[in-house]
Amino acid sequence: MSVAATKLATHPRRYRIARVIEELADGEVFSWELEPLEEHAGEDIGQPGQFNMVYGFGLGEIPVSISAVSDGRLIHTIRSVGRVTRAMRAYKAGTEIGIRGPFGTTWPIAPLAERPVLVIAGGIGLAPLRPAIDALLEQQERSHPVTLLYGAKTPQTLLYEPDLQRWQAHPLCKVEITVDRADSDWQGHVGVVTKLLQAHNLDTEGAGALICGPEVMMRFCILALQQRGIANSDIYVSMERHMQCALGYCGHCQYGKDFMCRQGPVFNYAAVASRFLVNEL
Amino acid sequence: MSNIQTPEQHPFFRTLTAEQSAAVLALGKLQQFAAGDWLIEQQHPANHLYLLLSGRVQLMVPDGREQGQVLETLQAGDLLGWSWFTNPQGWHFSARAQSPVSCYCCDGSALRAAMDSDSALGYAILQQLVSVLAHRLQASRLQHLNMYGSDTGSGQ
Repeated sequence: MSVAATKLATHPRRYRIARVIEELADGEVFSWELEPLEEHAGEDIGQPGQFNMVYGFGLGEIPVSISAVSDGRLIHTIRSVGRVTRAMRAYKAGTEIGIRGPFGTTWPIAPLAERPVLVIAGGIGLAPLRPAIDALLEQQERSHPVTLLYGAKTPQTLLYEPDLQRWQAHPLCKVEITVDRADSDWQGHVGVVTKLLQAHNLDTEGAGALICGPEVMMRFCILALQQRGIANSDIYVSMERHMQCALGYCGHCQYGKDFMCRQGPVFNYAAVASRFLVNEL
Repeated sequence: MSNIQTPEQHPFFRTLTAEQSAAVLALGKLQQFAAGDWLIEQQHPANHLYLLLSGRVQLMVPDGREQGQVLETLQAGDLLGWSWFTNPQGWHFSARAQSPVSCYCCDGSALRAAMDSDSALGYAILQQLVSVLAHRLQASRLQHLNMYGSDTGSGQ
């Protein structure tokens, strides 16, 4: 690792919260739009699929997927579920935080430029897929569609509604949304996201698939994709395990012979298929 | 989702022979429903199999108010109703057209009689029904898991 890369990986560099975005009305999920302090402007802020270690000074550090990169600004979407994230929930615009990274593997954007792509997201799993969808739709050579199949618990827990509308309006993008529970006011689909994969007219010929969501959801989506004739080598998954160092030293994120922080979080499913169904791995 | 142009193109007939398909089609007719129409109502006699050709249907549990809880959305390519085979006394749930719906509606009593007299036809139809039931049971179990609520997700 070069000196510069080592410094990015081991020293939190200071970012400022430019904007706090309330993603859900209940406040459980929020996003930070971050801008680097001047001395860090122009440094690598990561690619779709990667993650950063986000540091609250004096509080703690958490791994968070990159959910958007734009004009040197970085967006992270965080779910308030534990001690550190609940404290971060109270941070306001102007607060300085630390960013260590970017770490990990990326979604295979360039290899999918001339193929149809199925993007399958469950719940907050849409966060690491959002920059991938934008990158795919920006490809000059793209003539095949990107189809987003997005599942959430209820209509009130759908993320990124402006992006969903923007993608739906794109000539090369199709968006299908389903929720597990709704009352009869909801005009969309009700049902699990695998149902969208079984739709009679879903075109999967030559497609690659990118999946992120709860592991049980990913398992059943992969089964449905295999039944549609998609090879394991054409499926990519973003995995999660508890991460602490993000450098491959602490071993907390070990996944068989790999470390999630180094060989992941994005894996080609063919490389992990034998481990995917091993309980407690 | 795109519509199905003719009943023969519905996935229900994919594994049936031409003769079997003709036998089933002879027991039904095309039917249209406007948005808001009820296709089936809970506890009403269950005597039809609906093969959806276009539009969306909400499968739901009425809860005494105008709104009910939606269990699943069905659309072109799906089938609605198997109680005509297992429990013709009454539907377990209700189903309402969410949009204008076109479907092929088969008479349940006549279907049962045809299955009883032709075991090959009966087996072929049962294979289709069991496949649908298996998918829906699996989906219901996933919905029951509340898997999005138990995300490890970003954050600690």
